[in-house]
Amino acid sequence: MSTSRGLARRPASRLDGFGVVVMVMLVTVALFLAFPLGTAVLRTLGDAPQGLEAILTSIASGALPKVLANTALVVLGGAAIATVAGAVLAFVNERTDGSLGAAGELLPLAPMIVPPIAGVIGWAILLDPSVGLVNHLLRGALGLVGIEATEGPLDIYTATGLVCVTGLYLVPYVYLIVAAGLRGVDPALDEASRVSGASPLRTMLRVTLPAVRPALLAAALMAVIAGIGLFSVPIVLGTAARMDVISVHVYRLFDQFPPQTATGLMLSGAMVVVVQCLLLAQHWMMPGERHSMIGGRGGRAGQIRLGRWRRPAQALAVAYLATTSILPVCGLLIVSFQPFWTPLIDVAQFTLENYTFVLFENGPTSRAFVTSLGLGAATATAAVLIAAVLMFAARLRQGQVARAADVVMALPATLPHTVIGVAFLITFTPAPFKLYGTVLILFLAYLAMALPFAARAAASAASGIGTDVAEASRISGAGPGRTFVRILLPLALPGLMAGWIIVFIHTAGEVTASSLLGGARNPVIGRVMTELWIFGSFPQLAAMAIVVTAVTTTGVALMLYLTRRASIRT
Amino acid sequence: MTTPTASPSEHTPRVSVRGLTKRYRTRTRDTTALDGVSIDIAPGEFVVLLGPSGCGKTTLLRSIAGLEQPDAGDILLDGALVSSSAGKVWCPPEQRRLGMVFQSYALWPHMSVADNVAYPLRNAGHRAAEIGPLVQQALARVGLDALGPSFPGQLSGGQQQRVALARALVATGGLVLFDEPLSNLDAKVRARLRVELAALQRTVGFSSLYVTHDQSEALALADRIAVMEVGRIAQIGSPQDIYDRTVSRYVADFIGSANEVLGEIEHRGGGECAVRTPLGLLAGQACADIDHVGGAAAVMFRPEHCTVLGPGAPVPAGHNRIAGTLERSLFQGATVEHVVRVGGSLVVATALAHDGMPPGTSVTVAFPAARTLVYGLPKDRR
Repeated sequence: MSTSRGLARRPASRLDGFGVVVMVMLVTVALFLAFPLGTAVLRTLGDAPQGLEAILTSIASGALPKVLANTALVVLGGAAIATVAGAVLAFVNERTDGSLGAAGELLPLAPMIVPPIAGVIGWAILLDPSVGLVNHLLRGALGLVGIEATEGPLDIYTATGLVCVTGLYLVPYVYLIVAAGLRGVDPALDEASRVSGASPLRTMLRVTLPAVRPALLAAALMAVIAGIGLFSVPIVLGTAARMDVISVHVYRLFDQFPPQTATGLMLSGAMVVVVQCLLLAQHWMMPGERHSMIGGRGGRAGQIRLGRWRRPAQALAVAYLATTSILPVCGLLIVSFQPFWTPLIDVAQFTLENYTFVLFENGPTSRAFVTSLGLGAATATAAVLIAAVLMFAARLRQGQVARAADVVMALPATLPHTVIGVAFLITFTPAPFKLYGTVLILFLAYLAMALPFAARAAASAASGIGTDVAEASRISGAGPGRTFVRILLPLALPGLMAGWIIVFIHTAGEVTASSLLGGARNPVIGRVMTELWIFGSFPQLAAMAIVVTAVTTTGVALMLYLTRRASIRT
Repeated sequence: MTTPTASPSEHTPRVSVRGLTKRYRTRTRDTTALDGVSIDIAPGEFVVLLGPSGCGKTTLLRSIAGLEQPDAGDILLDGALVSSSAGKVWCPPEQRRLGMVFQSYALWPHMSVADNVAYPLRNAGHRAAEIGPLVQQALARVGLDALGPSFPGQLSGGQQQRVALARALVATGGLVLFDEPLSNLDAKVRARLRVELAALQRTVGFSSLYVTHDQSEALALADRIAVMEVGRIAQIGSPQDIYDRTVSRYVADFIGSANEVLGEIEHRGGGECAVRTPLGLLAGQACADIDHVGGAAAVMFRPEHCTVLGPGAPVPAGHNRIAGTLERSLFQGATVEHVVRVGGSLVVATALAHDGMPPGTSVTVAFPAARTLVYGLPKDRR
């Protein structure tokens, strides 16, 4: 009975066929990321004298100090707004009966439902000082009390407008970290405090918030980091307000003729240094995510009753969803049906011409849709496949491979997207690559940006699968490769598909690298939209934003459906 | 290195473990999970590994399955070497052809019950035509023949447990490893499945290694029990042996509940010895580690071997006797647990019927010297 077993024995070896595939893939990914980044570093050092000189000139002329002051104002202001709003929303939704339940899950997804580039254009349509739809309504209301004006009263093309909209798009970063922190704290801690005679307010101040203090600090830092990298909001509002922040400034250095490569690289390097310092600080503040993992299981047992504050708390969450999604989409919808942008809404004038124009008649926009959606699908497929193989390999054998895979795939998340775009631009533009303006360079840059998202999705999909199901498969006579294909992959599929959709959405609506790398020959959505904004073709732009939003909203709905179904089955 | 036998006879152990050692290195310290463990499982035998958590029983099981790689020692399945550090032999789990029932059952939620059971058969290269009837037969054996098309998520814990067992039995050479398989079930289902498992083992005749920390489970299921103590086997033998002829204080403490009194060896003769204790002179069976008069010793006797006698009742011959006061009697349904105060300590005695003695009664606790065990103690452990 056991002769086959006797023959099967072989020397102890850690590398089988699957292991070789994994190692090759890991090394390829590492080189793929290291090559452009290394080239950029070498180039920065090589050009350092010119770069420093240009920067000193820029400082003397006051241009660079202005950019840095703008950046500080927008990033710190936006992060402050986002920290307060995000923490309150997280507290209400996680810990109180003011929770919106399933709709609350949409809060952190808001910027995916309506991509920032569409949302920010929507807000410009609502709050433009002369033709903004909301401003028109406000002027009408003010006219009733005898105040007449042709402009305002609100102006989004100001520092205040830029800070507020930036804050809006930083909220999800805060929300996710604080909510996770709150979820990690056993509600029994709150209950124990209440039983010990403390009021709900005292409980929140003395028990709940101190328990998540590291998470709050980390969330605020994360908002600052994300704010530095944010591009779509300042390129739209900052351009009109004549307020350039660092990410837009670097883009302009490369976009002008002749490009100021040395200066741009120097400033990119500075961005990287600042962001890495902030990340270190954040890491230091959150010593392992287990810090706030106090007590046993979580659960909804310990919901705080808000009483008469319940409705206002719910209204807050609804207001957030409205400001990020509903209001700007309404503005976009109205203008997309108009022959020209006017606050005087006349339904008789409504037309579908803008849609047929951007989708079918206008070469650049219709090709942009095809290219961006195709690139989105290709990037998502590649990133998720790589992440799935590496993450599962990491789980199967742990140790060094796991740590290496983690580090490599998380690396791009620590770099502002402007910097990734710049690194690919200067690496692949010169001979022998000459890839500038091609679909391939966009694909490579998108892939680098997508890896962290895909890795996170694969890791969370893998973490939901116990090691025992893989072990049971091995015991049942299946090797590692077969176990991956027959057991792990099918079980992780819903989570991986959700990850695919996330990457697809981010890639299809990507603005930063698209603006830097996309040429006129291969237009992509992000670049075409910023160009339409600069040229002032607003109704076509609105139609385009609505189409993009329709695609991303469908994607989010599909993703929620998939993850919901996955959580029901297990 | 042991030479693998080409053709196993019916006397070849299904599993043979020789000097198995496994260490875990963490940044702070090294732990030895297994320290030179040797054990055999004969064909058709049901061996239970019993011990507290952290004693290495699961590590031993997982090493046999091929889910852990031992640091030293050999593992032979049916006489063929599958793991040896000296001979650099390492056979991955998928080539060991054994079945395993996991604590969490580890059923694959995306496959139907029938597909779960068919999976090992497919991996073993069976033809599609054979698989259907084999799966049906395996499911019928555990009484689930109607549930093939269901998915694991739709089954109760007990049913999932049976599917896991059917899967473990279906394509193996009749060797099944169990990793605390009943610990996630509630008490009633656990008791029923324990009976079913024992019956199935008799009819199918598979050999098993079964890990548990539940001593009643071990006593009910095992042909032999191996009690483990931090990385080594403290005692191995039939349930009767383990219970009545316990060789060490550790095992006695782990199996059943026991009264313990410390004292000094007064004299020793043959297998018997007498110990001077604060409760008086007690006679008992000397265990191997008693070597000299005057040494420290622990006397152990089980509550169910004790009789509580009222004032004036005669003490049977060959019994130890301890005089005390009845502190309280705890009614436990079928039995009554009497707690008797003797000086500064308490002695527990289990009786069948309630004989209505009020607390405070002067009583005598009697227990046979033949069932009293005496263990030597190192001087510093008194």
